[in-house]
Amino acid sequence: MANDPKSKRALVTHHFLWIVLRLVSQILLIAFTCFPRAYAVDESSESLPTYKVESIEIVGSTRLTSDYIYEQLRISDATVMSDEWLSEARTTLLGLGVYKYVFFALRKGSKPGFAKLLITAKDDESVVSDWAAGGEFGLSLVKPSPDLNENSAFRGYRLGLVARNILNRGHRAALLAEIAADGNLALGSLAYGLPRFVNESIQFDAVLSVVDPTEKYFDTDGFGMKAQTIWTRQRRGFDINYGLVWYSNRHERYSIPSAPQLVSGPKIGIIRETRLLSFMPNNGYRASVSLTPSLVNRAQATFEAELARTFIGQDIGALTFSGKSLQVGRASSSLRGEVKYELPIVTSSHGLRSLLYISRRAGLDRTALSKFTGYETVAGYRYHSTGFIGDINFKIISKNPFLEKWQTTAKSQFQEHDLKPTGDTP
Amino acid sequence: MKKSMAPRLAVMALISISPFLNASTDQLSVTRATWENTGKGNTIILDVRELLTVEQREIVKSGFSTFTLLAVAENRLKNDEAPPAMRLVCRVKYDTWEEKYHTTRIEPPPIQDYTGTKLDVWSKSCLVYKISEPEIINRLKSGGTLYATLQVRQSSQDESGKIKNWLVKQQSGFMQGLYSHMLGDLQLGGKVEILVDVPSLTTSEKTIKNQK
Repeated sequence: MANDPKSKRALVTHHFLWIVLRLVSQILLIAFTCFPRAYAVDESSESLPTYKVESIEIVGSTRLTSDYIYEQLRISDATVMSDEWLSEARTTLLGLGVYKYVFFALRKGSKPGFAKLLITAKDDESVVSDWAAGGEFGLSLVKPSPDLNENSAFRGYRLGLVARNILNRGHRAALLAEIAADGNLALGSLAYGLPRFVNESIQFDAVLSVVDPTEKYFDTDGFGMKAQTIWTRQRRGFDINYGLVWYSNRHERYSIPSAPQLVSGPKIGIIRETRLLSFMPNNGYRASVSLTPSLVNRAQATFEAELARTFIGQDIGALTFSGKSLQVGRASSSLRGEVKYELPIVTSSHGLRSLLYISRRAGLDRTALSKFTGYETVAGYRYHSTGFIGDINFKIISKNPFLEKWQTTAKSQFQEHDLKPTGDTP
Repeated sequence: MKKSMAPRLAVMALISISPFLNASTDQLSVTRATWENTGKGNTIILDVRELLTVEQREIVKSGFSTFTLLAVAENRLKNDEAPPAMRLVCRVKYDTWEEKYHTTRIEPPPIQDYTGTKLDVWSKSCLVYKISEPEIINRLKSGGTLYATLQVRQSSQDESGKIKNWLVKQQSGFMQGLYSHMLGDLQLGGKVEILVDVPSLTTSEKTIKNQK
């Protein structure tokens, strides 16, 4: 039997086919493991039964109301709970950023073709309470440049609050304040966002911010005060944003000297962001451009651009390069650049997570009358625990053109009035 | 061929783990394999039915398609590693009205369908792995350790990416710090790591004789 040529041929053919099948299987295995997102996943259950929703029960979390979940999942009497529907529904709920885990299960309905839907949700513990709120406390110790006297060394305090489920209906808000050693507000930001419009894939945000350039020069970009009301619409991987902006340098404290006083008008822009800006850095990039044709003075049309790229190495931390520019008309421009290295030092499935970071920032402001440059290096430690972030950092070197300018001005004013500044030895 | 490849491809995508979304919580369990002489030679039987967690049972009985993977290897399996050759891949769907489990064993081939009213219909064919490869049998004759993982999931790798993209878009570029607290460890399913103690063949035979 074994010596029969036909049997031998059949055996060889069988082995050959087996090897080919095995090879193809392995190639596909590797391909789909390495590039899982490049291929569509067929999870259809073909002839397996599907049911329409009879009722919904939500257990495990009180962060979102049943009505709001109905609205988000767009459930109607005709909704068939297929595997495809399940995938969309889970993406939608987890994407709200309030849950860590959602589990969908069907229970026997009261009539054929219908089933009761049970959703078990577990809260995302990185934020607290039903409003999914988080806090941030920060302390900055600043060592100014050597040509400034020691009394100009100061501390800054930072307080941040963020919530992404206000009123249990997905309203979003963020508040950030930095208080300088003299008790004044060095940086303030208040942002509010309406719940996302699911069907239209649009969201609305309003942001108001003030920055004192003598304290936080690198956080200004051309203006000391900014207000924006922006709609963001998603289109094929890009976010198109449009709305109204108001940029001002009119306030005595929150202004860039000799820069344009006011730009306001409609703004339109495009953003492409692939990074989730979460506690731990994420690989990806951001690119954005926008245009604001000023209603006050057409020669002050404002163009903004931003580029950022984050690289993450296995166990060696993350490196981010970023730069942004704001050009007002032809005469005035503002450039900022930063290189930042972040090193996660504790990562566990529970409890404290933290990272060390060091960044080098540079700034250049050019106005019709003058030109300013500045740079600073910041090293810090940042940790996260149950809804709160703590941040302590030390600015090793600081060259703030406005701080120096302010000191020079103050000194000259003192001299004009024949006064002696405190701590200034003759 | 087309029918047989689709679920397999789905599972290939399913079982790879995203570095961003840590898609599962690992639990460590320990079990003991047994030896069986089938007449054609010795076989190692790895039965992990008792290690099935309450959460995994719930997922299987959810009424939606659930993919299960029991992977066995001689070395410890890493999260980002391709699944080993020794694996059982199944899809199970519980029909809530008929109260039946529809199970499809996808790997190893050939694809087989089972239907029944008890969970055993799925667990017998998808949670019991028989090792009969002579090389492995020879290596483990005097005892040793095997490593296994059991994944029970409704979701795929593709879905992890979709959720991340969805979150990224909601940042809107204007609201500072909206996701600054997020730690990126959403849970999408249940996974159990299993340490398998393989007794030596002689010890096992003695035990069987004593039991007789």
